[in-house]
Amino acid sequence: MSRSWALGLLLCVPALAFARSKPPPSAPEPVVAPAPPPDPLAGPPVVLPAVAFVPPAPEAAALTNQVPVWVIPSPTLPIFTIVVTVPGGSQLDAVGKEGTAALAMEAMRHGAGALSGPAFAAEVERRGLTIDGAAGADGSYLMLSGPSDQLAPGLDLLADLVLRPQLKGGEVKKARELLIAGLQQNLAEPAYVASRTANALYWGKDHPYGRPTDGTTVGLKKAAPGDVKRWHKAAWQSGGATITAAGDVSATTLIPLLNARFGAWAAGKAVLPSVPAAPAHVGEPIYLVDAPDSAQTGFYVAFPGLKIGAEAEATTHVGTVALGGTFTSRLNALLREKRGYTYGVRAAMESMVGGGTLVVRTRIRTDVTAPALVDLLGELDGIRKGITPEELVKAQGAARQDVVASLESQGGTAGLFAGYLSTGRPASALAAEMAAVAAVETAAVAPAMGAWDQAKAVFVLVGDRKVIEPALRELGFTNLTVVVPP
Amino acid sequence: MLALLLTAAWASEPKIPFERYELSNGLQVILMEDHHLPQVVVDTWYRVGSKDEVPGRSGFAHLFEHLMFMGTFRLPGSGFDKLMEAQGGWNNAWTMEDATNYYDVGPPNLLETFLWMEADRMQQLGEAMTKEKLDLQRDVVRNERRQSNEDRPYGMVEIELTTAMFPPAHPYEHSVIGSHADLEAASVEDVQGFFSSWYVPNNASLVVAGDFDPVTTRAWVEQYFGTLARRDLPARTAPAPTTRPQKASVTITDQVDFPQLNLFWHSPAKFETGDAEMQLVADLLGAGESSRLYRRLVDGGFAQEVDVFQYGLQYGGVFGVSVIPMAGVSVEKIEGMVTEELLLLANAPPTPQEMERLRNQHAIGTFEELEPLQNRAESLNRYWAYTGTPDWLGKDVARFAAAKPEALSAAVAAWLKADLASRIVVTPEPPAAVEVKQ
Repeated sequence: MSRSWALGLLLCVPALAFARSKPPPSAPEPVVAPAPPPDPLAGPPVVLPAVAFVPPAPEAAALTNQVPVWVIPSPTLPIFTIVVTVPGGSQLDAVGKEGTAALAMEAMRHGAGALSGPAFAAEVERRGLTIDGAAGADGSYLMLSGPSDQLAPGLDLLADLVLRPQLKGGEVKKARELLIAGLQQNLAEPAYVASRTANALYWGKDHPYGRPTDGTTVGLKKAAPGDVKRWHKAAWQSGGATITAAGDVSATTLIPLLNARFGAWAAGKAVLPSVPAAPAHVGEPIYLVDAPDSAQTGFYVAFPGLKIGAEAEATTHVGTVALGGTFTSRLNALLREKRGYTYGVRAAMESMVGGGTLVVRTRIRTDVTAPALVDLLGELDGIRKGITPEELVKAQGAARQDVVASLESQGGTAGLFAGYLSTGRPASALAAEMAAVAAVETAAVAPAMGAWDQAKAVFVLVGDRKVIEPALRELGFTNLTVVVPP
Repeated sequence: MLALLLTAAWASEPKIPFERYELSNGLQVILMEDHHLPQVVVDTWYRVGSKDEVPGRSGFAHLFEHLMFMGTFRLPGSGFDKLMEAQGGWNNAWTMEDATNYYDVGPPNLLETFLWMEADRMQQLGEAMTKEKLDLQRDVVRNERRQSNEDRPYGMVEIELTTAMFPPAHPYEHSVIGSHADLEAASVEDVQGFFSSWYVPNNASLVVAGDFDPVTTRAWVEQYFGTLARRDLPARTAPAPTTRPQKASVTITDQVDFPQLNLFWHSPAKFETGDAEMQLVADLLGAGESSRLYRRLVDGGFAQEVDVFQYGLQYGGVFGVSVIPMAGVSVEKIEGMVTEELLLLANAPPTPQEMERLRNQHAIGTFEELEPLQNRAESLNRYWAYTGTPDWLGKDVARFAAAKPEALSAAVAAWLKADLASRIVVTPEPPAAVEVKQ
């Protein structure tokens, strides 16, 4: 198996031969060199089968107003995390006011209940608590974490944010300025620009998933305090809301605390816009965004993907891991470890409630952008033919390890299960998904990999146009269109 | 069994249970059981980092870290990654000024494999090195520099910081990532010499953490690492203490929309007297929305971002304040406000409410940081490397709990004097005029 192992055997053979050819007994006893001790590192040890792992199942309960609650107790440390989700997110942003949801989520934390923005922040931090939150295309969340002896006061503050945010004009203005400044900073990053541009091109600029969840400068400027209040009123209703708790908490103690604070959360449910299918993409040009003098080119390629919970989720997942989900995946092995073109490359599933994409993202050295694209296309051709049994086992092991890693922290545990609860899946969903991945067979993967079809994909490259465009044309990529990011 | 024994009272002394022993070749072994999840971690800490690089080879310790995954005679090519990933394991590594750390994470049935692989490369990585391997990882590292520094807004500050703060030939005078020219100059002989000098059992500590049987694990550690040879380490000379920066002012141009003000001072070494106080000063000024600089600069509408840190190292530390102003606000105005806040703190200690916030935030931050098994394994190695014992979590927490408000003011007065600051300003430039990039 290894060169030194073979060398060890060769060294032993002459020693044995010498021992067998020793002189007759009457002759003086020769000094026989002892055989060298076996090399303890000669070969890798045998790996025994992994012990079965069954993830924890949450305790399911509900508040008096029917808001579902999952609790995953883990009293190993005196800390907890609670996640509240609602189905309203940036899909509720009015056209032309992209960023309203992001602005509202930022402004909510700038004053709630009887406390002004600074007083609220001081109260949270004085108690060792943290409250984070964000809006995505399919929903919004707030996450409270802290020491377990601060659970009740933490829930008071969380309830103020959910039910009684002040959303004052001055705080909205301040939040808007911070978001616009942050957006301008992000727009200097090629990788961010690539993903933002590709989403708009893949879904369409007016599609709920095509509009940037963090908004646009124009949209953020147009979103007035009244818009922010309207968004909050529409999005943060109890209908469709969920609560997930993990850590040093139990359902017995938590449910009464939650009922006292969220039990009167008014009924009502956000009216969500329909999510149309993505437009078909056939033979589209490669889209270029000019980033003059950039040392690397940001790649983001979007292919047709799956909705959350789709039937082919498990098979697509293992194939995607084989393509670009681990260090030894096909793309990373070629573009980083063989070619040295990049620091890393990833393929991933981006699944949402109403649809999804399969994506490849990386940053490639500017001068090898064109040959890297050739390599990428070659690997896409390869993955469509399926994966090997070894790649299947690797992907299954990685999936299991990902779950274990999430369960290591209370935040990871609460976030993992909040994802299932907020999308209407049962308490057994995690175990069922793990079982489905473990049951995937090699032959079943190839059909799902047909989705990695470059003819139906949107390619976006953000880089130094004066360098990469001639190189792309020279290698035959002549269907190029220069675009401006949204 | 709980891996982290805590009581509800933050002031009590937390402890990570472990057992430590030393092999005859000097390798430190630390075993930490935690059967909460079916997972093990092998964390190997080598006490060598960028401070040990020779002139003209900046970035070499980090480049070497990459080369540790390029195969041995027994496990050639990318066998290291393939073997562990085939069974659901994964790994990573990092390099800093003082140390290089490697960790393997996976299901318990991979533990023996992890130990074998780490011992294998500790023994023969150097002799299996080739120019092809070196050239490949040289390219990867240079891509990392482009991604992490050159193409990242404000990313060149950390490169400029080292020469601004430390004198020529000081161990911290160059960046961990290194220069393109020095990376290009590295040879196979450099790799083999570095390996032979520093990658020896008596310069390493090995933490095994997670769901394992200690008796079996001890036997494996002895079997795989016990025959590795001890070697004398190169002599090190600690540099003279440095209190004054080399450059009072540096200006960098970059493709950004807003300028950035950075102020840096020398500060206490890691875990040394004053280190905890300076970390609390950093938190008081910049951690959270109720921190002083956040309220004054961000809430006040003058800045969009404030970052304050204390970065302690073996031979000293660096304290930094970074601020990105709002459009139309000058860095001079921001600098004036920062200076006022520092003077205010130097002359009057934090309030009891502020101290309560600092202690609570620090305590919860410590425990959340230690939730992942790998972080706990790494912390045992870090404590061992810097303090001489892995059993330092309790003392670490206690030094923050015991810090007096007056000591924070005294630390500011002693370390953060205006004439001891190095000022690095990033100014926006049109793309064609960007400098410093290679």
